Amino acid sequence: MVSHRRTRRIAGALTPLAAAGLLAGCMPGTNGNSADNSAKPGAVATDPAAMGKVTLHILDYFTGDPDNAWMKDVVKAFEKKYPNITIERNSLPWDQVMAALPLKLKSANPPDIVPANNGWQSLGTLVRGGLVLNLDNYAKAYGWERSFPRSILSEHEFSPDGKQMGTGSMFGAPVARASLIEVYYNRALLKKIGAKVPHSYAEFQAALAKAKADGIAPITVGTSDQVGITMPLFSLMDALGAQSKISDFVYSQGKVKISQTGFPQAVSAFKQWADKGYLVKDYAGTAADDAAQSFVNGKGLFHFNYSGSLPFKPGQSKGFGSFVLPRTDGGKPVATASSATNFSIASKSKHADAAAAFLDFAASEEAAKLAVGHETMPLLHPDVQAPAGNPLFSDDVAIAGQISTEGTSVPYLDWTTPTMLDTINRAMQNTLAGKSTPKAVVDAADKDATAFVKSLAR
Amino acid sequence: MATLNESRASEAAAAPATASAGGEAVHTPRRTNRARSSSGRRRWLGLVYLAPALLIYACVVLLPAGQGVNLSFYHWDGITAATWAGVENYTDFFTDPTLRQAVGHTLFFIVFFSFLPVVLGMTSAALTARKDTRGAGVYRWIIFLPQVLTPAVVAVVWKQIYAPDGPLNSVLSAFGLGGLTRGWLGDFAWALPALGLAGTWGAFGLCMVLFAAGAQNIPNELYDAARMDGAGPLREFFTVTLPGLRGQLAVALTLTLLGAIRVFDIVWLTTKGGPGTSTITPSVVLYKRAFSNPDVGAACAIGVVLAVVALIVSLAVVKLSEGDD
Repeated sequence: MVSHRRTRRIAGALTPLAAAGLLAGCMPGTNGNSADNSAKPGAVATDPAAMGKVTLHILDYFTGDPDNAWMKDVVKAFEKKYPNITIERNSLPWDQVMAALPLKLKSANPPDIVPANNGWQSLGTLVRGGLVLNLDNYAKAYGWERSFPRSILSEHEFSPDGKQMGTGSMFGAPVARASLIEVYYNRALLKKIGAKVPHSYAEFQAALAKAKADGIAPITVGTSDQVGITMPLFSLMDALGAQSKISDFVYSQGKVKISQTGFPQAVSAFKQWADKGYLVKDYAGTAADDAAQSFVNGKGLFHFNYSGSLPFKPGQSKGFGSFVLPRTDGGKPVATASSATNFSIASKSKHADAAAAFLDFAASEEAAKLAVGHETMPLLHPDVQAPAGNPLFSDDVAIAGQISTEGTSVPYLDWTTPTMLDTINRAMQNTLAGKSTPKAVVDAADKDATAFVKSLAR
Repeated sequence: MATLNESRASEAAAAPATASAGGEAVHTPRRTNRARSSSGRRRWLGLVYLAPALLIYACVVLLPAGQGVNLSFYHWDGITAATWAGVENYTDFFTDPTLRQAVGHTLFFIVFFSFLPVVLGMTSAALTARKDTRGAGVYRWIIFLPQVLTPAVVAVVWKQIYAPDGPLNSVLSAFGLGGLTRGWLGDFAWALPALGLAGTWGAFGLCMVLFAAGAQNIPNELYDAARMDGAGPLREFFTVTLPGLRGQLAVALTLTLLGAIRVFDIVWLTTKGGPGTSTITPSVVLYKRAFSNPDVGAACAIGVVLAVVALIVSLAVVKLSEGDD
């Protein structure tokens, strides 16, 4: 009797739940997104001064310096130039921006400019949902197609049906600040082992061996939180593979296989470094941030990381330098690089012209000069000079200039699919620990890419 | 617990009342009508009082829960039109090796997050139950401390403890056990037990405080009687302390089991489920699918399964603790 009643009571408690399920039972994601992503015909306005009083809302993830300081200065300079345009910024941490973007863009009053991340994880999905504006008209009007390097342009392009990346129309624009993977070196330790800054892959390997023999950790790296793995891995791929194949793999959706990119060789080379003891002891139990800190503290000869992301105290960077890992074939060094952010315009923005004018300004030489002023790597403007007195930053500016002039940047490999980063990190941890062969990493990445191509067709 | 007992008592009280009302109904139908309508009115009045709370509850819990259940039958990236998936997101539990592994880790964590703390808490409560240990309050305060700390802080602390140059390895080296040192959280064999021990540390205090409080309510006469009958400390524990703590045991088990089922923060903040997938839990998979690799339907299916399992587990614990009442 009691148990009967109890079941009835439980059923009673579950009824509203079921009812709620029915209420909510409409199909998700179908609220009018028959994405029309074509560029509207007709001319666009490019003179901000003639746009009347406008307030632009910008969402960004520049919460810390120097990102924030640069963005503040760019906004200030733009508002000074065009007093009729007011800009309101909203800065949120990266994770929050990525989680909130779809909802924000679907709302009636979305931010005009949003930092959708390149690749399939964010920008690609937003394009397919018709939530960001096709910028082709603006690209033509401002001449972006001519002034930006091809390799950077591709990173912001999708086909209007949202099925292909790296081709078609621009759905976002780069800013005049770079983010790229480079090799940092400790000047004092390099001198100690009697080596020079390596100009060939062989010289780099020799320096590793020498450091090891002298009891200096050749490479400081930390992989325990799955963050530090892709920086050395992608650098190796850029040094061992062909630039066009890497870009093609990321963009082509299955036509170029990952086995053609130099990725398999990179995995094996990374594993060999681990086996030879070139990676700092206990790298598997160290978090990436701790590894970066211990490199800054002088433990270790080389360190792979993003530009401008080492935790230097003022003046501390003098003891360090940077370069892009030289290629095995002696060709121009290739770096995994992109704009520090992609800026897209919301489809529902009421001030698309003013927003595009701001994007053009954020990619201008003036913005690049502001970047250099805050000692953060510029992009798109190879002529911008580094201020004297910071040798590491001079190296960075030289690298950025080289990448822009020679067009030797490749997109991040993990843009290929939404899950690629996760897949590579896990498989690589297995292989480094000797739990699986390097081939298993390649197979896992290949399987991931194939599955995603299939889901795109669905 | 208490509410369940009370409601059952009220049911028992209600049963004869209805029976007698039914009996009278044969003779005086007018009165029952009035009685029924007044009790009906009272029920509606109760609902009216409850309405504001129910409304909020429906908006923030029931409706999203229903949406979650609905979403779990679709493939959806959070933006474009969803496609019907049927039960595919649920069969993932059997076909997806990562998810299967995550479920296995949950069973492992149940030992460390629930059974160990309960056993340890019970032991320490039993040891301090009758004797007034000097400084017992201080011990309790120290052992309870983890409950006061934010999970994020706990994760950072343990990350430091297990670091290659952290305190644990220093202590091992100091005792001449340098050969055992390692980066604990980067080790395929040790990362999971290491996180498990951190969980034990976190839940131990709660269990101990619950049991210690419960033990103080056990009448001393029971212990005296047991001793008169010649019971040793062990016998005393099983015949007096343990039965006396049944209510607390149910609470402790429910809280810690639920904690073990949804372990997320400490894993996410230390290993992100690595190395490889050796510390991955269902909640970590859920988070990744919901936010970093948009596959909202699959994430919802995991959420639904976790909720159902949690419901079953708590019902089972309540049922067991009521025992032969």
